[in-house]
Amino acid sequence: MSKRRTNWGRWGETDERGMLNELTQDRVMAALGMVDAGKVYSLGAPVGPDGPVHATRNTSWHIMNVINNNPEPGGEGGADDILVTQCHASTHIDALCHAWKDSQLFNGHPASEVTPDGANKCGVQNVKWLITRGVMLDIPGLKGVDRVDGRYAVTPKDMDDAAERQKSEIRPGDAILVRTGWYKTYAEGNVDFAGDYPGVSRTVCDWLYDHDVVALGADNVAVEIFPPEPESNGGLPVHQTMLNDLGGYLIEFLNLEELAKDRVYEFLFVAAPLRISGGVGSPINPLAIV
Amino acid sequence: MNEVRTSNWGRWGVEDERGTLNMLTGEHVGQAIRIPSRGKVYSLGAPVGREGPIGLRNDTHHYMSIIQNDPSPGGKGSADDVLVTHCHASTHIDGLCHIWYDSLLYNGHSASAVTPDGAKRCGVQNVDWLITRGVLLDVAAAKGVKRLDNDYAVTGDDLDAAATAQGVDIRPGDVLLFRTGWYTRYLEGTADLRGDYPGLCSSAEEWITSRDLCAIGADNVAVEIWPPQIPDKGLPIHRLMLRDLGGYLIELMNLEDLARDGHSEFLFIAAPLSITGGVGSPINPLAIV
Repeated sequence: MSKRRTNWGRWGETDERGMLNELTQDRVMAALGMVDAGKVYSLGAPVGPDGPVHATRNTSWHIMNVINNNPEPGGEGGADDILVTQCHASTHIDALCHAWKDSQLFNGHPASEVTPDGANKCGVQNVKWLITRGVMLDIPGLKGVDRVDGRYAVTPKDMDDAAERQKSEIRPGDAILVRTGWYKTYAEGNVDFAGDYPGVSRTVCDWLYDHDVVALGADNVAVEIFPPEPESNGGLPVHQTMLNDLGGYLIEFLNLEELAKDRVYEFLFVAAPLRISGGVGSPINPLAIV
Repeated sequence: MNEVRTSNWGRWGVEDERGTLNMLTGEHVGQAIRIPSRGKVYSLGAPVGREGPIGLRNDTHHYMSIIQNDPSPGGKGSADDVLVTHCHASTHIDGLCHIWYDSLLYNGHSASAVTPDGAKRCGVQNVDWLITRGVLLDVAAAKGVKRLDNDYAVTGDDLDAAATAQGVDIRPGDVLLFRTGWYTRYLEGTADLRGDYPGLCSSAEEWITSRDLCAIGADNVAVEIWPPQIPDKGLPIHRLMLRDLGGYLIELMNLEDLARDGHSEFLFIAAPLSITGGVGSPINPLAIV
């Protein structure tokens, strides 16, 4: 009989924050201690009409609602703007209430808590911050290619082999960022947002549990491969495992190109989602600092 | 002694669009990251959504665009949402293209670069990150009050008095946060978000200029006092910081926990969204001690 791998109850019955509970002050200090040169990488993609978004969601709008200029000497001018965005457009974090099964969210909270007025449990306002050790696993680097094929499923062996090649130890509480190279296709303007993209295989789910990963990010639309592998029966098993079983977070549409170019594999990882009350996700601009 | 600058135009080259962010060198970042000794993190972001604070602008909307649930055993469910927000609602940073005068933005860039398609110069996407030393000056506490009156104008002397009381110094490249206590009105549900509020006044201009700050943030709507003390002369602190100095403003911050715990100095981190041509961005700034 296979044991169900879950973090339900690990931090108490009422917990809504999941793996964030593992980011103790000691872990934060250890992560800060990784910084040497003070070089900062922004991992956020553009936000607005030019930002990446999956074809099943609408493009973001950026509206300049006020531009006024008094042309007289000393005259003042000002501008104001409005952002209309899917919370899962461009670089973003998935809150634990984004996907569920058996009508239960992480930790057994009823799915009925997700209402038209927002999620009353496991909303993104609970996240506040992620500050931890980050590890980027460069899969094209491992394979010796520019980017992996559009239908490539990243396996646990790929994750281990990439870590070994980079001499990156994976530790409990890490944020693991997987690079497929798909983002290059987006940056080149050649991406089909409705099409296939490479990503993490369903077989990585146990690896995530074994390594006690706080967050799993990738440079593609949804971290996991799309379309799903046949064994997934149309579901999103990595979403189910991370968000629902483990209380871990997913970060999508990361720009990992500069990290890969500079061969930066371990770093201080910082993300601060907007405190959207009852939100299902939040756009973020994550930082990697070395 | 620091050189007193009335303008930072040209300081980082004639093409520069990032202003005081140029002060945040690798060495500067490394020093800031060595400030924390405990690893305790404070989120300074206010709620985002319908109940979030906002000034003279329209409300934010958070719309649950999809909720689907298959109730059968093993059935899957999911939700999606959409955020419609003013870029200057809730806790946010002002891009350098937000306010100008004489038809010129920071560094002499033409105001005509701010177009209906977005700001072609000094847009908020140039602000990848702020990582620096942060200082909180609790002006309300230094005055011995829960919060300043809504018509109170914060001066350079007030900031000095708070710094002395707290035993903290201000250094070039710092993010200076000051607390008026106005945010407690928002928390209590008694704030008049379109009314008067306390903040910096134009007499603080020389104080600000001589401190060579990266950014100024506050727990009120617009850092500076509203309404302005001198009618028809615009927003003097915005004009000075954004346009003359290329420095940033961070508004509607929640400084209550940080003040309650008595923290004057910390690692400050903010990472604005990379909104192409944006005039501002909502942020959730962090203070780490």
